[in-house]
Amino acid sequence: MAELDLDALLAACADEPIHVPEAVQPFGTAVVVDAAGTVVVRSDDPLGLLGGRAVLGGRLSDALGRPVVDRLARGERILEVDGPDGRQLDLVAHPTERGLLVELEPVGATPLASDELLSRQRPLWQARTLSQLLDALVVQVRELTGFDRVMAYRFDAEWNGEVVAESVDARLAPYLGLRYPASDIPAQARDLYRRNPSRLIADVGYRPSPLVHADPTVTAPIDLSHSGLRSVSPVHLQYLRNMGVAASMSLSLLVDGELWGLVACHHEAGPRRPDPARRRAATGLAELASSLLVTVAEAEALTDRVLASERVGALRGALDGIDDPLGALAAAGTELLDLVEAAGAVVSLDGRIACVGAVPDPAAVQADVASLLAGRPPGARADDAVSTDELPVAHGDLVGALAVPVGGGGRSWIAWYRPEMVQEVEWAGDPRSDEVMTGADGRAHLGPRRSFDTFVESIEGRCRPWSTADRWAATELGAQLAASLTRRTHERLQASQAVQRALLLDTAVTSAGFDVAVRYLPAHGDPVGGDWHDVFHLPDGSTAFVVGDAVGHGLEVAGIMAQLRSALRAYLMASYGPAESLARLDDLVRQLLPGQMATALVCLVEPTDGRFRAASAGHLPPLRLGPAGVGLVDDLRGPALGLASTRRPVALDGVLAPGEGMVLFSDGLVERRGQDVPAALTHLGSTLSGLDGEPSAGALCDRALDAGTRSDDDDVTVLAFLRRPVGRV
Amino acid sequence: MWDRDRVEQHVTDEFRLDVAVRGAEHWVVVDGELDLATAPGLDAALDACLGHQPLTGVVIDLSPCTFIDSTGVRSLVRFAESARCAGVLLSIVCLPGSAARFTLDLLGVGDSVPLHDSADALSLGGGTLGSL
Repeated sequence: MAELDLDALLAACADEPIHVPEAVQPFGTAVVVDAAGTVVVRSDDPLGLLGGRAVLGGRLSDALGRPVVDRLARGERILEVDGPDGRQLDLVAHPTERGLLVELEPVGATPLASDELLSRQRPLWQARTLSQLLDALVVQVRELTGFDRVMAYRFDAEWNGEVVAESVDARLAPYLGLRYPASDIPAQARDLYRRNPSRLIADVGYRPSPLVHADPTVTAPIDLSHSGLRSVSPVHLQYLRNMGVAASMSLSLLVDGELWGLVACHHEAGPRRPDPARRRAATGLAELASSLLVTVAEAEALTDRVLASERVGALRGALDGIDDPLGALAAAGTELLDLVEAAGAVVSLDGRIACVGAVPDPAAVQADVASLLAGRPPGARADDAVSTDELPVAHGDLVGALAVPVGGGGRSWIAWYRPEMVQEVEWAGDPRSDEVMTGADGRAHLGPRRSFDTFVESIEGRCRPWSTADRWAATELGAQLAASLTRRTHERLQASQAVQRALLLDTAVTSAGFDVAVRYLPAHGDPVGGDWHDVFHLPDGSTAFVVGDAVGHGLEVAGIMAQLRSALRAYLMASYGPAESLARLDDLVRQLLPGQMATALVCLVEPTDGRFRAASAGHLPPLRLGPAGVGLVDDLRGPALGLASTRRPVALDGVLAPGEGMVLFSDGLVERRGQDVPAALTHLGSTLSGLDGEPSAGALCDRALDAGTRSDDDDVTVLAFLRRPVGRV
Repeated sequence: MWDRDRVEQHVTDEFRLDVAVRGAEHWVVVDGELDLATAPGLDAALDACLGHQPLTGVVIDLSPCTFIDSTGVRSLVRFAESARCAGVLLSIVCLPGSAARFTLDLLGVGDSVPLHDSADALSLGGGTLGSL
């Protein structure tokens, strides 16, 4: 037997054209009709849904009636129709190159109740962590569809998958934590999951219904990428049978258009075809989870940072007013190690060194720190902490290190060390054993895996990974230590937190056609406030500028703020416009966050001609820099989000000439105690009017913060944008 | 005229809360700064009102209130919802031109909570604030 080229076989498997199988699954019937309503392609009709009518060359209206065909012609794509024998049928249509692909299947015995989707969405909205979100998703999808196992599956950078959440029938063994190698879901299958968010295999033992063309000379196959009935690869069916699965459904989890993971539903008890409306609802839940993934991850990162900032705060307490910070840090040994959960730490201040716990000799530490800080990732700031889970040269058991500079000069820094942690990864079957089998054609090809026995792989030489929160805590301690060493003011510390916050919200504050600047100052002693801002481009070419403020403080509000920001962005991206987007956000707050209140201001500006449309939900009006100087846009009013108000926000339209712009801000800028807010707004306006020449957006923000109107105990956001003069776009 | 069945007070340096009860009507006077620090006191006082039977009306008088932040407004809005569910008539007094009124108007609270310019316009069993 000739030597087998496994890579070539894998490549061949990845080349299988699974989107054009020229067959569908028999739980429904597919036809393609041309513009004249003539059936040009048709599958078998094993369930008799078309009652022997709408044959090849015939007309779809013969089976479904003229009104249904008219509705399809008008562009309707999902319909419930009466079949020729009176059965209720679910109809889904997709355009293809040959005509409209129409797929029919019977409506199930347990259709979806009208309020069920909303009640199933609620636990997803309420999730505060990634695991809560995915747990809620698998539970709701399982209750919705009745599969006996529903898993959330997350891909790593190499497309290996891990089961990160599971809801499973108590009689079945759990798969939670198991990993599946990338070859289980080949590249073209992943590509299809990107384009079509759901796929059902109602019975792995099905007999495919081939697609037959009316014109036998046509050789181009029908693209079934968006089909719900598409027949799947026999290799995949065998894979499922080997796993003991009788029916399966997969839903895509997408982040920024990329496949993040899948919801994989299995039924072992027998074939299963959930009602089509229930499948669409499950797909909708997966889409909601997809849109919440980023938000929840942001909120979770915020939580980590708040916890880390509390630990930094405890250490700082030990340093306040101390003449000998080196001695104080060494004395606070446990706290210093607990800050980032390290086994040892070395502090160097101006060349004097103190050690805590398990550390290598000082020369080796010196070398580690120098190489770590020199290898700072692109985009990192000079005082950011840098870490590695795997040092090039291990010091005995110590294999990972984290280092942060203290001020400039290179003579002051802190380094932490972690020991090796052998990581055990449980694979569902040995990922290195692909099965090769001989096909009917006598040629070798890649077969589906037969063994799913747990295979444990050990990963050595690495420490437990340093997290973003670890690096953040180290960076914060470095900055605070540097500040206390150089007796910097409290303002400076606040500024460092503000930078963290701006990084966290990850707002790329750039926009073609505009000069944009944002400043954020947290409240005293509270790194997380309710303020948020957002700047992004809409599909119609305009730029959205948003400032909002959720009521509350600390962790309570962090997740809510992130959710509101994300939902408002979604509504604006869906082209609802400022007023309708705020109205929808208000509905959402009232339904899903009862008792919560927030304000927001939205301004959409067209960069080419300066036309803008703005709306407010109880937010302070912006200042407009116009031909008549700086003035409040006082007619921009609307009820705050979460009030049971009968009034809806009203949009305000206008035009910004080149060089003109607006300053949006949160109430922290003008709510100083003992000071009248209207007077503060007037003072702010005249302060900004007093700027000489053509001030930049950054100068406007800085001047606004220095106007003497801002609050001491609330967070402050200022966002300024100016239309660039023509010719400088 | 105003026969006090019961008066409660919550007092700090910058904040004072007086609750006067007459029969089935409660009058809550908020004096000073209603904010993150003091709103929980108002929440507790208002919850206590709802626990009192019989209860037909509550007046929240913000006339002496010098500052109200969004946390304070949220307390008012949440109580308005509770009062509506409990079938209790709620009136909020807030002077035009005051700092508190500016905030309430900006947030559009007047659409969902009955706002009154003056305590004089209200008649709770013939009593007024002045007779406390």
